[in-house]
Amino acid sequence: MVSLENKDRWMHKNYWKTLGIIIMLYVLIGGMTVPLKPGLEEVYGVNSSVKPGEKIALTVKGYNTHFDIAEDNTAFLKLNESHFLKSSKIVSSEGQKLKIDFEIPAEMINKVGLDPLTLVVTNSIDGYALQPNAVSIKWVVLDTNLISSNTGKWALEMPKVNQNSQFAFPYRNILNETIRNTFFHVALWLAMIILLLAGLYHAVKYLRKKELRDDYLSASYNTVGILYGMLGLVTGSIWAKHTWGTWWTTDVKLNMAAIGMLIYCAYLILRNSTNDFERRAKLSAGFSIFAFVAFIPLIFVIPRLYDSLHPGNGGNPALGGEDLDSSLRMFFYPSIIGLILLGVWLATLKYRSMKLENYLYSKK
Amino acid sequence: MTSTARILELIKKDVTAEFRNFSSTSSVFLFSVTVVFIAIKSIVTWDYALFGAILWILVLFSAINATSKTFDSEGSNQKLFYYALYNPVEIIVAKIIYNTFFIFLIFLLCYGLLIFFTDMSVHESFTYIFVSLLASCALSTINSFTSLIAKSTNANNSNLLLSILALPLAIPVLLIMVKITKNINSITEEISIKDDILILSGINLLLVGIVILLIRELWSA
Repeated sequence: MVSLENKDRWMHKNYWKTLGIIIMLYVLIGGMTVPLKPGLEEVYGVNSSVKPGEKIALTVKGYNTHFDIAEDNTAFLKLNESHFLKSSKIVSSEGQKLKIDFEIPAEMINKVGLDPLTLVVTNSIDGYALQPNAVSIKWVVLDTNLISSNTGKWALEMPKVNQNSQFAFPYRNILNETIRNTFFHVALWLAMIILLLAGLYHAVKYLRKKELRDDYLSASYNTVGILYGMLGLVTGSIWAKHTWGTWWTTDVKLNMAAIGMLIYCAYLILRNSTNDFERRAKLSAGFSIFAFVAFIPLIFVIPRLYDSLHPGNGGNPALGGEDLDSSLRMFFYPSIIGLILLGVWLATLKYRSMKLENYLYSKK
Repeated sequence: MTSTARILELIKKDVTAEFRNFSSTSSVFLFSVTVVFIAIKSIVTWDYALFGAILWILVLFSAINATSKTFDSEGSNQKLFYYALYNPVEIIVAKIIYNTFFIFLIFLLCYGLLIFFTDMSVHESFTYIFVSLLASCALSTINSFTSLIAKSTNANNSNLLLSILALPLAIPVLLIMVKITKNINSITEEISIKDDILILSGINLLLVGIVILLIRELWSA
């Protein structure tokens, strides 16, 4: 029988596999069932900009909100930290809709240009929901006489905002429910990088020590890394369909990731093209180092230099900031660990099957 | 003999071999000319993005044709002979330099023909030709390295394997060159191509460095 080397003993232990399964179950169940915070799905009834002194009537549609049950719906517009405007009238209607009227005060700020206003709706059941850039206010040429008389219409302190202590994921426009894909798409790419790094480590180790064990491990980690990369492309594509409206774009990051996957597919073909174990090991170790070195600038350097829709490029925020709040973190970080554990498990299975194959081949 | 002298000697040997076996060299040039002609005849309106894409795809495929025979003549006996006389780093550096100039020649041929037939003039042609030399060097490094790997597998279809290994690695270089071709000729706005040139140089350094690091291990395969 194939002898069990001492350094392979950890592959036959079960605790870390169980841990991986438990973590992934937690991520799947929790990540899919925790609701989203209330949010404003749509705001209609306004052209992009309003002039000072105008009246506007907004209709907002809520998501996960209770506008019809709540008694104390209030709404206000926020200009900056010291200027707020309460609604003049607010009526709730069918299907989580609210009709809100505002009277924009006349000129008071000495400038020409556009300023975005944030719409905040709050009640005691939902807490609050907001829509940044709901309306833009268009300042026109200033009449100095109006400054003193009209300042009073803007409230200088923020109206009372209810808080909601329910555990929920943040609501983001456009993303909506797909925000849960963070746990899979982003985590898959991170886990893929870790697995490819493990493959690289064993490839280098093979070239130094020439033990076939390292070649098998390198090939197994790389294979699972490629699998994760493919899944990352698929989840990303689904995400793109729901947020950008198309399965694939000409975006540089997407294309570079796809090219990186092609390079690694070439690695798999190279491994299958020869049956001589030693030669195959040497060549594929060499190519996998070459591929990894070519892969890093593809997905980390080049996309940063071009304009891109993808988060993390062209000034778009990636991880961190307010996009990854503590409720998302509770599932995102475990998901990375769980995927790495599952990936290592898959790789050890592949490693063991390759070892058996070699054993049978030598018996023949 | 110093290493430089040995590298020069190897390049000289390659050039001589090329001239002795001129039919295979001319077949590569004939391939390029034919495909340029097909492209010219089938495309009616040209713009610079299309020009760059056609030019560099042509160069890439001709380059793969040309470099697939890099390690062809090296039978196992000759390999032993090399092994005794030269350092593997010298051999691969000689191959890379030789292939760079060969690919650059192919580029000049395709470029000249395309300009001649389509009447598109490229601004700052000296910069462009210098950048193309950099791109030729990157393509040559990729092709020399992958053709060594493909040949070493001793597979029957090693030319096919070479295309499979080399094409994905070459895509970034090609994309950068297409972008540079487009931007260097942009009439509406001044776009700096300095960043792209830096990336290209960076890719070159990275590839040559990793090939020199790996060649000692792979040569004996």
